Amino acid sequence: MSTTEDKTRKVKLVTSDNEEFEVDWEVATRSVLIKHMLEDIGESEEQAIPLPNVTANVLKKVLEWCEHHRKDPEPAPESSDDNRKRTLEIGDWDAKFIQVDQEMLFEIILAANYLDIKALLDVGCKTVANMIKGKQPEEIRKMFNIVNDFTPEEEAQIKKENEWAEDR
Amino acid sequence: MPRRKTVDENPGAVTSGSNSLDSRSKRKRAKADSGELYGKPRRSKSSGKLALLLEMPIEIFTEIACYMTPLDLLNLARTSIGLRELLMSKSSKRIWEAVRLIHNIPECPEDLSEPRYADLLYGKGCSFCPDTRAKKLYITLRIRACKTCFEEQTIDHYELYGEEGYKYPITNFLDHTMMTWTKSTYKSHPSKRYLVSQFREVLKRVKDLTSKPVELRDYISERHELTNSVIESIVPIEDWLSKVSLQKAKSNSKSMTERHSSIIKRLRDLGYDDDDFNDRYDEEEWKWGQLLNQSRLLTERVWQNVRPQLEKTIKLRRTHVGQRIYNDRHTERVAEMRRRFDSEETRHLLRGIPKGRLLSTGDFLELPIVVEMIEEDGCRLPLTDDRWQRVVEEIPIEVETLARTIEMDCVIEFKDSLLQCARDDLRMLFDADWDQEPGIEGVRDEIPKCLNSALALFNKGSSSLVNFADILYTRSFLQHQSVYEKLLPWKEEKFETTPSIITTALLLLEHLDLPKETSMAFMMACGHDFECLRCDRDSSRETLSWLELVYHFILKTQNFEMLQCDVKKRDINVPLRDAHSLSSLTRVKVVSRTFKRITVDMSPTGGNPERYSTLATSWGQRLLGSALGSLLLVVGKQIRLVPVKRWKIRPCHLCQSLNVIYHGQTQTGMYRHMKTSHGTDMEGNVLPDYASSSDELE
Repeated sequence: MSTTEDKTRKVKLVTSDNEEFEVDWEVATRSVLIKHMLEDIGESEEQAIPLPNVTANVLKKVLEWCEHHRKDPEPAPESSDDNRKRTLEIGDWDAKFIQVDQEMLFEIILAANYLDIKALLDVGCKTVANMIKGKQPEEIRKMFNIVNDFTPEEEAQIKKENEWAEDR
Repeated sequence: MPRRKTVDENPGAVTSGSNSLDSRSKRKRAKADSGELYGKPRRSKSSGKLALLLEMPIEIFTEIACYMTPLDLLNLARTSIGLRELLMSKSSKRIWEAVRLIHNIPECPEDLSEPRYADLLYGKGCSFCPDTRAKKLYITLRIRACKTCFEEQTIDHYELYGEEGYKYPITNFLDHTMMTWTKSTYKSHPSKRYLVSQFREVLKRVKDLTSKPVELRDYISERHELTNSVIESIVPIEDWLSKVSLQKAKSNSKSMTERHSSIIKRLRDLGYDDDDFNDRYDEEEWKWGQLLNQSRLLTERVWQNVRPQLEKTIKLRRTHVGQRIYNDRHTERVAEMRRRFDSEETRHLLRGIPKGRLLSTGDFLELPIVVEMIEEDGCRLPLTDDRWQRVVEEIPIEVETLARTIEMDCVIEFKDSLLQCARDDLRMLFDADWDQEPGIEGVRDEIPKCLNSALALFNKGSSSLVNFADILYTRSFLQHQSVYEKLLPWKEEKFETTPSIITTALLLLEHLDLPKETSMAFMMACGHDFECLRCDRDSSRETLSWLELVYHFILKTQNFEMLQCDVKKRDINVPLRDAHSLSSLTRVKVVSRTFKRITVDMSPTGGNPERYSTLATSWGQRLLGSALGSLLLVVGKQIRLVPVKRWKIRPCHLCQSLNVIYHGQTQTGMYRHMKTSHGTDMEGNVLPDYASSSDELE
């Protein structure tokens, strides 16, 4: 549980490209990873938290999201379960926030995964999923820049064959 | 932190050569490969848009996949060997489960794998043939099939009798071991069908296990459980399918409405109006509805695509159906106006204006102010209360104008016929009326003198004549009648007078010793006191009114002329005379006002002229009418009605030879008929006095 004292605390974060960010404790702790690290280092305010897998421009974007969602309730522990009930909706602010180029989108997803920010990870994943939704195999290949390595016969065959690979 | 395994590092996740971590070089290569496989590569906005996804750690890819639909997973698994291996592996089961959960899809039945279940619910084509169009889903049989394949791949339970192996006791447990598709029919027995492949498989196993009763029992038990679990899975799946179908219909309808409104808004912004959007008269090949009523979102690209097609249709409409659309609007505006005039409120208003009762809604719709209001802005302006009020204010003046039109039309009709009579004395009699200005303003009460004359008789196509007062009365009465006999607009009213009517009336006045100036008021005041002396009338009840008398003579003359023609045509030697001739050569009276049951307190030419205000007291009320009898006239095969007295018992044999039925009522009457109509005695011998060829009765 956070205390009133915690909420006024500032937290220093250092990115992989050595840029330092000073943010409110409440904002930083949207990340479960940072929260656990802060708990580990205790009251040592001066100690900066290194984030070697996140670059400054990505962290800036992630912190923007954390700032906007600083008051959100903390995710319920069971939501970390793989079988948690997911929803498809994306909030208006989040939808606008995530309108970035492909590289930044995946960087945010990776950063959210690394920093353990479930809600941000969900926004990123839903956005990508939505981009694939309703696309035919040929369209997906084009989006992924991959070639069709099925022979025409195989392609016809796989349309009818929908069993687990192990059961075929 | 150690680098995690990415999707494209999954063995064969993407094409060979795509394992490079350098996404840029990989993308270039992929495009080149694509070009080799599919010809010239197309560049599109989405090309390579998500190429980086394949470089994501598998857990991220999995996380993303969890937000897709089952159909997306199937499509993704059909893109490349690598992705297929990844997604169709049992290790990816949690993705399929998560996707199912997120879309509220019921649990995957035990007999189906997750991908097969997804394909069953979301796939489209036939499970047996390459047909990819949407096909009917048979959940119990776990197939989707086209009609032909369904017939081929399933078997009716009655056909099982012909199947090899029927001797095995399979029918005893058929329903327990195989999935059945049941269709209710109009007969009491529902049609059950089984999958042939399943049937053969079960049959073979049963055959094989016949000698092993324990194993056979276990097998049947196992099939029984399987069948039960399939049956149990049906209801939730069907419920879900119907929910999805309903949601889809709702969503489609919403999207369609949005697209429709969005397109219409854009077209309005371009300056098009409601007329341009009216597709009522579109030709079959004009594109409109199919472009508007789609659930596909109207993106800028879609708009750029549909806009020229829509504008082409609008252009065609403007060229070919613009007039019809205008006519529709006009009809609508006229209907609005008609509803206002037909309303009880307006009728009440018109009842307050005496001459208002003479006019129909059709008359009012012709008024300049009404026409102008209907056609304002190309008939686009609906009739609001304010605009209607402007019409109401004009009604009293317009009523007077319209009533004056009725009067003047009658005067002109009478004048034209009268002038054709070539009688200067008559012309001079009414000269004052002819000179009146038709457009005279103000309320006029006095009826023109010529319309008050006993000669002013009009034929309205019915079996009698009418006078001007009758015309006005009939209009005022019909104004209040039901829809069965609607009052016509005045301009559609058919009425006429002819020189022959005027001449007949004039000669009858002479026979009655009445002056030519006699007024219609006097003749009407005489009631039914006139008698035709040439007809077999034996009682005072057979007398006629002035209008009936004139009509009687006109009709008799017409009949005679017709008979004469017929006799000539058929070359029959039957003596024939015009008993109703009013020729000046006639010295004997043919009519009389002998009964004089009614006392008339006016001289034939005296009295006050008729006034609208006096006549209007009876307008709109029901009066007792007079009825005329009729005589059946048969000429050739044609049947005509002529005035007749009552049922007669002795037919005239001379008339019979002309196909005319005439019954004399009394011996005297018959004698008069033979004498006046044939110039013969009762036996048909020509009387000496009539031996000459003259038609005139001496």
